[in-house]
Amino acid sequence: MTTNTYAHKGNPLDTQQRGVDICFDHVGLRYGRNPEVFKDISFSMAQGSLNFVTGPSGAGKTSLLKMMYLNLRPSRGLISVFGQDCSRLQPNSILALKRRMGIVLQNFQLVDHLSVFENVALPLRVTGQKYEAYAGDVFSLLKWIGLGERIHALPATLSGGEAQRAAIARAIIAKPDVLIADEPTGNLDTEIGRRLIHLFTELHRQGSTVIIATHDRTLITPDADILEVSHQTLIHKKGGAL
Amino acid sequence: MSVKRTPLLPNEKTKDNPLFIVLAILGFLATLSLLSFKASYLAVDTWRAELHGSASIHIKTIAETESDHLKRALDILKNAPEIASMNIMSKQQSKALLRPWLGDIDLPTGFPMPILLDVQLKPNTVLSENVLQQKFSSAGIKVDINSHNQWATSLGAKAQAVQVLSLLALLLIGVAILSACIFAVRAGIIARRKLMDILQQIGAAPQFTARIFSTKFALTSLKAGLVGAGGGLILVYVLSLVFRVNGGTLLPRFHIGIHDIYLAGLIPIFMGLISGLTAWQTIVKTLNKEIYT
Repeated sequence: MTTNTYAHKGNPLDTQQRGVDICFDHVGLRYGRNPEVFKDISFSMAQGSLNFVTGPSGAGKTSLLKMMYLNLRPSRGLISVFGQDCSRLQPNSILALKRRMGIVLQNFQLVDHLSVFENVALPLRVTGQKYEAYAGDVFSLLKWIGLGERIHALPATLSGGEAQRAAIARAIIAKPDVLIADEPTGNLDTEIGRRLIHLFTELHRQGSTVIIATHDRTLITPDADILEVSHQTLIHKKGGAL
Repeated sequence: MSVKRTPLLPNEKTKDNPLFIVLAILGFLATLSLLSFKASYLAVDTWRAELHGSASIHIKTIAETESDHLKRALDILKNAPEIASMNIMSKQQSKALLRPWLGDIDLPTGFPMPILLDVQLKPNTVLSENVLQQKFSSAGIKVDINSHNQWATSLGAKAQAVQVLSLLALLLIGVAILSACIFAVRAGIIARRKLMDILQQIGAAPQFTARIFSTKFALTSLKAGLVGAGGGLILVYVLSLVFRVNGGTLLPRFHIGIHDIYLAGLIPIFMGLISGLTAWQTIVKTLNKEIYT
C-alpha cells in the first residue's frame, strides 16, 4: 500500500479551518424497553484527534458510533456535533452535519453494480457534482490509497483489503471533517489490518479527526485517545494512556 | 482516463421482471374493465334509445276499408313532426304475431287481420300519443298506439341501475388495481433497500434517492402498462371479431375505435404517475424518518 501524501486539489484533510468537535453530555441509550446500553456517558473529542473505541463484542461500540454519526438518537442526554445540539435540529440540518462525516462500516456497504471508481465518487455524485469536476480527485485518491489499478473492478471481484480501502476512499472523498470506522479490520488478516490502521493514522497525521472502533487492542496506536466501552459505561483515556 | 457512468438504479432482471409482470397484468385488467364498462354503458344507452325511439300503431279495420284506412293513416303519420320513418308489417309478419294465440291454423277468408305499423321516431323526441289519437279519430280510423312508454319507464330505471352498478364495479376494480400497483411498487422498493441505505449513509438527500426510484418505477409502470393495455386491446379486438355476427342490442358491443385506443392509453400514463408518486412519497417519508431516529 502506498503512503504517498494524498495531494489532490486543496488538501481534503487540511483541518486548520475546522471546528471538529463531538460532545456527549450525560447520554443514555436504551432500545425499546430493554435495559440501558449506556448510562449517563459524557466525553468530548477534540478536532484533529485520533480516537479508538474499544471493548468486547456486544459492549455497544457500534451503538456508540451510530450515535456519533447521527444515525441513532439517544434516549436521554445531549449530543453536540460541530458545536450544534443535534436534539433540536431538523432533518435537513442533520443531513448537512452527516455530510461532514465519512463513515466506513464493517460490511463495506459498496454498491454491487458500480465500479470502484463510481463507488468512491458516489458521495460527490449524489450532491450533484459533475463528472468533470470530481474525476481528477477520485483518480488521485484511488492512486494514493493503492487502488489505482482497480478503478474499473466491481466490488465482487475485490479482496477484503481492497474493498475496505475502497470504502475508506469513499468515506474521505468528500473531504469530511471526521472519519468514523466501525471494525475496519474485522474481516481482514492481521497484516492487512495493520496496513489499514497505518492508513488511518496517515489520515490523522494530515489533520483529520479519526474515530476507529475495534475489539483488537493490539491495533491501538500509543498516541491515540481511547474510549473503553464496558457494561453500560465508558472510560475516556487521553492519548498515551497505553 | 474516462469512466463509464452507470445508472444508480440499473435494470436487474431478477428484481424488475416480477414487478413488470404484475404491473402488466394490472394494466391488462384495467383496460378490460374500462372497455367492458364503456361497452356495457353504451349498450344500455342504445337499448334505452331504441325503446324510446319507436312506437307500434295497430289500425283496427275490416277488409273492405283496409286500403283506404291505411292510406289515410299513412298521410297522418307522414305529417307528424316526431316521426322519422315507418314500416308496414306484412300479412305474414302480422300472422306470425298471432300464432302464439291462434296456433298454426289457416285463417278463414275475410278474417280481420290487424294492420301493424312500426314507427321510428326522430332522435330525442317523444311521441304525442293524444294528439295523434285525436287526428286518427277525426279521420274515422280506430287505432291503438303503443309508444312503449310504460315499458320504457320501467326498463329505463333498470337500465340506469345497470349503469350505476357497472360504474361501481369499475370504481372497485380501479381501487383494487391502484392498491395492487402501490403494493407492487413498495415491494420493488424493499427489494432495493440496500441501495437506499447506502445513499442515505453517504449523505444523499432523501429527495435525490426518491427521484431516482420514482423515475425508475414510473418508467417501469408506463412500459408494463403499455404492454398490459396493448394486450387488453388485442383481446377486445378478438372478441369483437368473434361476436360481430351475433351483435344484438341487449349484449354489449365490443369493438375497437380510436377513442378506445385513447382511453386505453390513459391507463399506462395513470399507472406511471401512481407508481412514481408512490415511490417518491414512500422513500421521502421513510428516509426523512430514518435520518435521525
